[in-house]
Amino acid sequence: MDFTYHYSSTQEAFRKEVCAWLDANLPSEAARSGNQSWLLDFRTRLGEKGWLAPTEPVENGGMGASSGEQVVLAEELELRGLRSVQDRGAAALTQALHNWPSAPQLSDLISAINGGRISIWHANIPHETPEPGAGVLPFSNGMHEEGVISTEDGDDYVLNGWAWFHGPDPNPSYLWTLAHLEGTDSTISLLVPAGLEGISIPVSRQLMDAPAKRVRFDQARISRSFLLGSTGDGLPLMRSTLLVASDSDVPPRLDPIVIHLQRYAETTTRQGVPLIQEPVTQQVVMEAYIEGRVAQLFQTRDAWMWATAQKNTYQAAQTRMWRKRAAQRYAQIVRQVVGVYALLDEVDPMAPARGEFATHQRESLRPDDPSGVSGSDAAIIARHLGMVWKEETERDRAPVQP
Amino acid sequence: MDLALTEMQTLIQNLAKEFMEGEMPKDKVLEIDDSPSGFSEEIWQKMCEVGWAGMAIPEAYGGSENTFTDLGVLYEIMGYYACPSPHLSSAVICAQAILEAGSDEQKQALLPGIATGQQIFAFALTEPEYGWEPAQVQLQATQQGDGFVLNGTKLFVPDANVADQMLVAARTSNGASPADGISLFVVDKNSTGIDVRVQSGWIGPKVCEVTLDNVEVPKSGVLGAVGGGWSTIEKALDKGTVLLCAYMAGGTQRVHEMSLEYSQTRIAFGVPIGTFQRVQDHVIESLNQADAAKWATFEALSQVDDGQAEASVSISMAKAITSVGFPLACDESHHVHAGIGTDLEYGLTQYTKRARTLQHYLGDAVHHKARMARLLQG
Repeated sequence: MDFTYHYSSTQEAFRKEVCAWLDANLPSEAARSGNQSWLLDFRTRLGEKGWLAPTEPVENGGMGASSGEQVVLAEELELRGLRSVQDRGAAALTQALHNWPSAPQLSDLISAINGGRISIWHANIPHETPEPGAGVLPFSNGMHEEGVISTEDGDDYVLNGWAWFHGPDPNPSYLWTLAHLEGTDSTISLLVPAGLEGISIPVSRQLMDAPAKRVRFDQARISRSFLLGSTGDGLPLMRSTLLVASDSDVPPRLDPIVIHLQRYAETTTRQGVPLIQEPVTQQVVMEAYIEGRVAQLFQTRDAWMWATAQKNTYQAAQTRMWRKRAAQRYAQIVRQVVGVYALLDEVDPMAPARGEFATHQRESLRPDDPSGVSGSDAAIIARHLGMVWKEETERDRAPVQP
Repeated sequence: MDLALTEMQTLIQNLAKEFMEGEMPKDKVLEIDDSPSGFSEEIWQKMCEVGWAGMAIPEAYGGSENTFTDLGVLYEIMGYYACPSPHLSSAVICAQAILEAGSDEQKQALLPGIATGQQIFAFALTEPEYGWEPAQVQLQATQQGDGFVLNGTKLFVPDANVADQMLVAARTSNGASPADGISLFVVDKNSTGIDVRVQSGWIGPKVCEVTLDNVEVPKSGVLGAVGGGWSTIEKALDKGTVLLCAYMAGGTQRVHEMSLEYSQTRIAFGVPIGTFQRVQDHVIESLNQADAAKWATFEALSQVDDGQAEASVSISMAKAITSVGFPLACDESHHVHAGIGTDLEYGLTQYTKRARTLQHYLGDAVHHKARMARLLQG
C-alpha cells in the first residue's frame, strides 16, 4: 500500500511557475485583512490566466492543463487559504453544460464562467434522497419548507419558494437553481439571471465568511431557454456534477487548525514550561491531532476510491460526519488549551496564531448542508448499511401536492 | 497513492479466512478461552504448518520474510475471528528483538525454532507498577561471575504459561535516564527459581505473573549490550504494536458487523430495530471506529515497510485509536444487542474482553498520545 501522493517533474515545474506568480501577485496579508474587494480583482486576474478552470481548453477560458497540474494549482491556492477562488459550482455548471443538452445561449456562457467574468451561485443539493417517511422528493411547497416550485406558463416557468445557495461572489450574475415542476414528480435545472424580477436575497449578518445564502423566489418568471437538460433532468444533472467527490483532486492535508494548535502548545510556556509538556494539555492536543489525521486518512481513502472508479457508498457521508465532529472537537480543545485568547481575532494585537483560532471558533459552526437536519449524514450511512425499512409506505410514493 | 492489497496480500487474506472458518469457529474460541491455559497446541501446530510463525523472520533463519503489511493482513483476520495464539509474543516481538540485538550464534540458535513454532517465546516487560516506559522496569539483574542473577516479578505477561523461553527485561544498573541500564535476557522457563501463574479475571488473552527468585542466566543469555537493551525493546515493541493494532482493527470490524446483522434481524414493535435512529447511531459509531482503526493501522504498516522515519508516530497513533475504538465499538454493540450481548455463548463478550485487555497491552491511549507528542517535537 502507498498512502503518499507522488508528484511528477512536470507537476513540480508547474508548481514553481504557480508559486512565482502567486508570490508576485497576491496582495500582502495586511492588504487582504478585513477587506474582500481585492478578492474579486484577484479572481479576475486568475481567470485571465485560465487558472479558475485550468483543465478546460483555452477557447473555453481554461488553460488546457492536465489533472496533475490542476492538483498542484489547487494545492498552492489551498496553502494560501484561497481554495475557494476556484468556484466548484462554476466548474460543475460548465460540466453540466458540456454533458447535458441545453440551449446554445447557455453553452455560449462557458468561456465567461470559466474566466470568472460571470459569477454563479448554485443551489444547495441534498447529498441523497431522504429516508422513507420524509417524502418522495426533497422539496415540498409548504410555506416554511425549503424548495422552489416552478409552474409552466406558455414558454415560461414561474418560480416560487426559497432555497439555499452557495457562491464566492457577493453579487452573482446567475443562480443555478433546482426547481420542482408543479403537479409532477419531475425536477428541472435552470440558470436564472440573479437580477430577475421577483428574486430577493435577504441580507443577514452571518457568523462566518461566505455562508450559504437564502434566496426567495416570488412569481419570478423565466424563459424555458434557460433550462439545462430536459424536464426531469434537474436533480440527476445537478447531483452528478455538484456532488462529485469533493476535494478528490487535492491530496488531503491535516486541518490547519491542528497545526496551529500544536505549534501554540510547543511555543507557549506557562511558568517556564512549554504547554505541550503539561500532561493533560499533551493528551488533548494529541487527541486533536488524531482526529485530524483520521479525517485525512478517510479523505485519502475516498480520493483513492474515486481515482480507481470504485463505488463510494457510505464513505463520503462518513468522512463528512467525522470532519464535522472533529471541527467541533478542535474548537473545544482550542478553548481548553489556548483559553480565552482563542476568541481574539486578527485585529487584536494579542491574538495568537494571527486570529486563526477565533476564525475557527466561528467556522466550526458552519453546517455542511445549511438545510440539513441534524444527523443527515448518519441517515445516509444507515441507508447504505441497509438499516432502513424494506418497503416504502404509500405516502412515500405519492407525488407532492400543491 | 494505492491503497489496494497486493496479490500476495489478497492470497494471505483468503487463506487466513479459510483457515479461520474451518479451525476457529466461535465455539472453538470459547473452548480455548475457557481452558486453563488459553492455548490450543493443535491449532498452534496447524498455524505453524501453514508458515505463519515464520512470516516475520528472514529466510536465512527458516522464515518467509514477508512484509509487515502482509502480516497486518493476517493479523486483521486473526482479530476478526478472535483467534488466540502466542504468535505476537513469540513470532513477532521476541523474534524482532533477537533479530535486532542477538549475536549470530543467538540468531542461529533461537530463530529457526521460533519460525517453525517448535519454540514459543514470551516477552516479559511489565511489572507491578504497570507501564511501558523504561522507568517502570525495576526487576533487578545482578552480575555474578560471567552471568547474571535475576530477582523480581513480572505481571500481565501474555503466553508465559505456554512459553518454552522468555525474553526478560531487567535493570542491570541505573543511569542518567531511566532507559539507561536496562538489559534483555533469554531465560529458559524451566530454570530454577521461575514460577508462572496464570492471572485470574475477565482477561483475554491469558496473562501471567512471572516470579523470578535468584534465576541464574549465563553470559550467553544476554541479548545485545548490557545496559543497552531499551532501544532494542522499543523497536520490537513498535513492530508488535502495529500488528496488535491490525488484530484490534479486525476485532472492531467484526463487532460492528455483529451489531449491524443483529439490528437487521431483531424485530421490535413490528420492524427491525435497525430502523430506529438511536440504534443506527450505535452501529454507525462502531463503523467509524472500525474504519479509523483500519486505515490508521495500514498507513503505519506501509510506513514500517518503507522504513519511513514517521512510522513510530503513526504506530502510536494507530494504537491510541484502537485502544479507544475497539472497546468503544464493543460498548456500542452491547447497546444494540441488549440482553443477548451478555450471553457468553453468543460470542460478543469474547471481543469485549479482548478489547478491554488489549487496550492496555503494549501501551494504552494515554501512553501513546504522550509518546506521539514527544516524537512530534523531535
